[in-house]
Amino acid sequence: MCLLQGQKEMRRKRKKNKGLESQNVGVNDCMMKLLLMLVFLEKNLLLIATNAMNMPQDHLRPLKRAMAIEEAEIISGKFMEKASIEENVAEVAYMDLLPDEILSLIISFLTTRDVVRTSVLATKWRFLSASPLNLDFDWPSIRGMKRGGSRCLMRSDPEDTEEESQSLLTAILNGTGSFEFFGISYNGIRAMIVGLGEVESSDESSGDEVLGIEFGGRAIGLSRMVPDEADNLWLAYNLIAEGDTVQAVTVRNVLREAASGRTRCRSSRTCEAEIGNKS
Amino acid sequence: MASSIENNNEKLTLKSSDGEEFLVEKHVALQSTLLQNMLDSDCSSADVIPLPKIDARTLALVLGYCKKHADASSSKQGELNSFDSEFLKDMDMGALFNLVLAANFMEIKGLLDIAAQKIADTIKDKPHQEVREIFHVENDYTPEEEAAVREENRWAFEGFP
Repeated sequence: MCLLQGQKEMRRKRKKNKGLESQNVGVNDCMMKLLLMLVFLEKNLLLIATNAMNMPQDHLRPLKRAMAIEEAEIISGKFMEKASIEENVAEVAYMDLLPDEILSLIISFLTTRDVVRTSVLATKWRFLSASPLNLDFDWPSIRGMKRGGSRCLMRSDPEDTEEESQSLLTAILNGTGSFEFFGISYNGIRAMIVGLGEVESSDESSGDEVLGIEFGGRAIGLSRMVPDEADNLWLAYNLIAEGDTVQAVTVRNVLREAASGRTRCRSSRTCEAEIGNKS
Repeated sequence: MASSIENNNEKLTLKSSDGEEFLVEKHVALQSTLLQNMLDSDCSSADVIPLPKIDARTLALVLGYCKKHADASSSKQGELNSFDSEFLKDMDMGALFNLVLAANFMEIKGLLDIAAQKIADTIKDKPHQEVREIFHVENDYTPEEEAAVREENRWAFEGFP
């Protein structure tokens, strides 16, 4: 931040140089060069100062945040430029000019159904729609979810056709892409699942929960991970590529409050999914 | 540092990308995390603070928001909420997007949230063709690819053209 001070100093120096220059008209080739250099330096200083102002506050993910900011700068710069050039603002492709972090924020305000539908807007949106962290799951539109019982989201309902479950699975892997929804078992009509394993239920034995995602890609080989925090999901999302086979297993011990009293049930599901490369 | 923040009469000058200068009270500027950090670092108090990414029209809107939120007491949450919804009402898309970018740049979380929410509300329940039109999203899918994506997520498209 103190670069601003440096900038002021420079300005003062420059003024002094200017004064000198006017005194020795015609002699000061050298001085002119110096002046140009100072102007150049000052410009860069301003740039550095601007960058310094944008230093990430979030120390947890400095790299990601710094990247996002760089992008935001470039893009917002472009946006302003474009907006001012084009009188007809309606022609500006707004969405393309917003940095991804803002688009993700916008998406986070949508229901899952709307989020999934954005994937068809353009190729970029297909990947964007996989990024929201706080999806509001629109339960009635999810067929695989059975109300009032302990069920895995993926495969639960015998009435579901193979095609329906497959479509749902692909929707989750490709469309909403959030592994937060893996291995959910819940009793109740509406649950808000925030983060992996944080299931809002009267679960007193969360230690029993085992969540694993296996992915065997050509480049990666076979890997296994047990995600236990949101960042792991981000990792998985970036690692899993087209053609990978993803397997998720969950074992839960759920203690639930039913009308008939407390019952204990255990559920275990295995799901396999091929992402992409199907057609 | 603390003493300079507590002094509400202090003002600072913000300069927009198109060269207009805005004199704002410090407690208003503090709504912006970016400015707050700058003030905390205690370097720029005497300077004009350049905001090279924000034009005058947008900056005026942003500062209007900041002023309202800085001046309102915490007990008037309802009033603030209605101000927020009025604030974005009837705003054209260009202004709204500039506002989102400015709020992001200046790190004003409340403003960023309500502006993003407003854009989300525009997308909500609209057929994707219409969303593309509103935001001028260029469709770079081939018709076959688009059909495939739709097919994959058929459940989400039920009831939409």
